[in-house]
Amino acid sequence: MRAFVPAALAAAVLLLVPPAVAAGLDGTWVLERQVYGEGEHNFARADRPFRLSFRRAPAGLSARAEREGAGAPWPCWFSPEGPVAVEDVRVVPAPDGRGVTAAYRVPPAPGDDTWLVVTEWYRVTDDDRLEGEVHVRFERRGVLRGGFTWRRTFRREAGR
Amino acid sequence: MRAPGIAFLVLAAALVATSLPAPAQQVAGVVFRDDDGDGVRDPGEPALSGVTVRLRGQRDAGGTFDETTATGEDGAFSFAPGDGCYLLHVEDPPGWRRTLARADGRAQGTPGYVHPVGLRRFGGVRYLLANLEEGHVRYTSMGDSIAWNWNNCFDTSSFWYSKQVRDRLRCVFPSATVDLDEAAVKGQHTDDLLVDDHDDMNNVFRVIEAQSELVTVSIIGNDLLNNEPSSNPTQDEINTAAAELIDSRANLQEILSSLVSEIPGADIELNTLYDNLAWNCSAGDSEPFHVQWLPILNRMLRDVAWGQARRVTNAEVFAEFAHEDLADECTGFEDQICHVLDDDIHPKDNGYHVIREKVWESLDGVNLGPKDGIGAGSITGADHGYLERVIRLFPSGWEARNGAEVTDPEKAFELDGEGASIRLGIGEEEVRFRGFPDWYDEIVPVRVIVGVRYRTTGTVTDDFYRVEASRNGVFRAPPGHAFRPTDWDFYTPIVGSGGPNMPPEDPDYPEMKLLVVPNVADWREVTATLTKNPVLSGDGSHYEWPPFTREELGTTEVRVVAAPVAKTPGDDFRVVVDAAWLDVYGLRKERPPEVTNVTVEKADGGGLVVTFDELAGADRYDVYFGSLPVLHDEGRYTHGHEPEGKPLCDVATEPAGAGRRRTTIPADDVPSGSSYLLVTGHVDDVESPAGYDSSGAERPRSEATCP
Repeated sequence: MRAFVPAALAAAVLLLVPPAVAAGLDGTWVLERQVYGEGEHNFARADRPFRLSFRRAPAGLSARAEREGAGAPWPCWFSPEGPVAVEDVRVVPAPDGRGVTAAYRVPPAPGDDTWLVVTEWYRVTDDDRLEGEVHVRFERRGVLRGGFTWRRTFRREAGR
Repeated sequence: MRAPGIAFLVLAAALVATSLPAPAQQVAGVVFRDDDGDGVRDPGEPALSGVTVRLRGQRDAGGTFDETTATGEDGAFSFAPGDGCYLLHVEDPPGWRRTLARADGRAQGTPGYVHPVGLRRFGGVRYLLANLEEGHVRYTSMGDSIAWNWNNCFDTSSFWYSKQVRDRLRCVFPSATVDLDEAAVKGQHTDDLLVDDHDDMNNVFRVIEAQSELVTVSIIGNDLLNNEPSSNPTQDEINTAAAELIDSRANLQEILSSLVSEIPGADIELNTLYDNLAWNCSAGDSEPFHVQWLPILNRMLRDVAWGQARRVTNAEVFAEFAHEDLADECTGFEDQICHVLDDDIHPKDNGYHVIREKVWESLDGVNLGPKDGIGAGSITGADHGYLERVIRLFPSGWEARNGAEVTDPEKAFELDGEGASIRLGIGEEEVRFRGFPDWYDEIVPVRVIVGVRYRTTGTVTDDFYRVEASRNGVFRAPPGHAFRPTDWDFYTPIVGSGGPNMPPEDPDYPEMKLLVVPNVADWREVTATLTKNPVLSGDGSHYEWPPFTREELGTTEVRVVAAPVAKTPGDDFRVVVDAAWLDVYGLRKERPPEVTNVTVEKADGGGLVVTFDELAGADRYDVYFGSLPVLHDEGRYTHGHEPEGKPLCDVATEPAGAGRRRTTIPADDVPSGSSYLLVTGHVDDVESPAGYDSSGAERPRSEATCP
């Protein structure tokens, strides 16, 4: 099983963006829709809320993910035991402050040899929702071997 | 709670007749005639004796166990090998075909389910033991993330269950090498397996090139996932999704038939599909489309596997997962599905253990003791059902349409190595073969396989051909058709009806081609289960799949048709059809003997009194008049069809004493010209022969037109 490695996640906490970033992305967002690819079935569950929080800070933008009581700096990946360490993290906020893109790699679970190569992007829509996609590709022995896409929609959580 | 709607098959009868009292460390089962083809021995289904059964493997205590026996009068066989790892091999009786590997689910509340084995569902591969004896098995695990063994729970390693099956095979035959191709690619669907990717073993082209000895396929989930309708689906959404499923079936027919014909010594296994969206205990929001169509999809998978020219087995993953849901308490799926990151689709470790067991059983794998999934020291109920091929029917008519050209079409009416030569194009050209006999009333069809033996001449570039069957000559849904679970099946794909650039309205790979084997130099035989729509059971709880009727066999057509996605006209390739046929599997009633000692006297008023020996067991009689001049001049019997003949069906008869009966034919029913007269009787709905000609040949049964 994967272990929670908070130290390894620390590098992802501070995202260097201009202090004058627009307010659009700031706040806490609750996942309300997650579908596979072009499918229409919504896998997001109200009883297992997934939150993304973005906050402006003097040094840049901080981001955090939270699921079922377990939280970690974003970007991160969740296992049954909680967030796991990710590597090769790159985060690129949109210049207008209304979006962000992250790329990272999830190391194989113990006993396995499959890396996850993940790209996430989110953008605040005109009606103040957060939409985005998570592209997960499989890398095995240096070769990409397929993947999948989640399409996500978040709503802004009031008071947070 | 389960969502309302159509549940899946629940056959309490599945639970009877397979349990034998067994001493410790026994492998036992029964070989039986599976009269309804459901893989379960129902009351009254007779034993098959004299069937050769072999068990071969390694004892935990050391040494090889290798025994062969024959089933007894009761169809039973048993071995006492002790703890260890083994493969069972049941030799197919000539002319018989294994039925499904227990497609049914388990009755709700059934005691005895033990994770991860549940109900064992043996498949019966054909070559695996022999290939192991040869010393080497290359095992290719194809498909999607399920074959990959992936989930968001990170609790199994890549290709875990395939590695487990590989290791079990190594256990059975330690001296053999068993190499696993970890070929599956996450997220792929059936179309992907038909794309010739030279860097990728996850397609039929490379597997054929490798000549793998064992191929397991877990696919189709993404076909469904990427086209699923919304929770309150519109008819348009349902039509789109149904079209994709039907196309997936055609893809799988092309995938499996190509593997079968191009790798002569390979065993192939296809997983059925569990579907958490159909039985979503956890979320309680089962999707209506999935609930209604999952049983359809799984039947598609079973049919496409069952109908191949050589046995393809199913790992009944669906049925075992379905049992879990039947508990109605969400204790089943919850323990088997990964919910991390709202995955909600992939099995976690528990679920993959189920898949491992089902794949193993589909290979007729048997472990006893610690190596078994539940540590069972004995396995009984290793039953194998069979259906007999009772008749092969050939067409008697043909039609060329839309500019197709055909030479010697009647040569497709028998298997003789000479064929009907068909020239198509890139439009809608087609040649149809029809006129399959419907008069063999002693035959009780249970399942039907449609086959074609063909080759090509010239060079097939991208103007392709398809071969398809239809029960009524309607090969596609009419425009605007509203697909429903009981109204979707218009044709049976045989060759080339899928492909990665289909369906035309939504091509996945528009530049790809249709056929795995476009140019066929030597005769190639491809078969498929002939399919039609299911019906809803009386209580609406499940689908029923009625067998083909004789009348439907009579209206079935097989067509060779141009594929309208080709681009380059003009080359000279031809499809040469040695024969098309229908293999009817089922039962054969005894035919009554001919009605004898027929005498005819004139009755008052110009009628006739016909007297004949009573036919034992007959519940009705027919009188046929035929044209004597036509018989004399043309050698044709005409008694079944007007205006030349006149069938009088179910005539009124009365005892005539001394074991004879008589009927009086009114003058109005007596033909005016010179006629011959025949009498037949029906016993158990089987009509007696209409007599024999001077050479001893039975008079044509096509003229026996009375029902």
